[in-house]
Amino acid sequence: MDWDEIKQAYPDQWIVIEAMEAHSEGGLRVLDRVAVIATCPDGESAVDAYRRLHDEFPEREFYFIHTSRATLQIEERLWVGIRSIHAD
Amino acid sequence: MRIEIAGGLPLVELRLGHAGRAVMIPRVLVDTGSGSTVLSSARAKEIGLVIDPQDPIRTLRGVGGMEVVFVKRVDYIQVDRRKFKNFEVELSPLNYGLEINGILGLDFLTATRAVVDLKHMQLRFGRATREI
Repeated sequence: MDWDEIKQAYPDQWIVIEAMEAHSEGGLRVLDRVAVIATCPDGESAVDAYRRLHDEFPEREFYFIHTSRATLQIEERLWVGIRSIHAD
Repeated sequence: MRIEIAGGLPLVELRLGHAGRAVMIPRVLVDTGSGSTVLSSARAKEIGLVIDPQDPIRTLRGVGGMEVVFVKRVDYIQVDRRKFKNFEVELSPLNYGLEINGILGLDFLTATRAVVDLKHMQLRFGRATREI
């Protein structure tokens, strides 16, 4: 689904989505194909649901987001983080 | 501010203040390798700071994977007596397999002219680059 289709199907709602296809472009993460994974009653539960999914499937690309947003704008930042020393 | 080394990493504590409330956040990593400052969304929630529908969302991508954060402009972050007002932080449900509550990044360290003194294990601040 694209963002407009998701906005229509899940109006004014917190959701967790998964990027099935995505690429990086001009400092943004562009999600080309998106699946809705969960609907959530509020923002905190969306963040919690993201956390659980991210822990369980770290190689998959999940986002928490509210469908009132006009666009699916996700800024991207490179990070030489502490995770690297704990990567298995 | 005393730097504590825990698990081989330099940690300090800071105070996060917003909308008349404040919380002390211990065990924050001093990280010149992070361009921005990230704090635990669970700690932020203790002073009522939770995600809003229009908060910007960012993805941090690095060697160890990726992490999604949301962005808030908070009233201040304070380390020792150095207070940085109207500061943009990234909030994350941090879970790095480490008992840390955040990352004090280069944005804060640069703006406060921080000196990381590893001989005396102190984080000190010079003259600020702007009113803080």
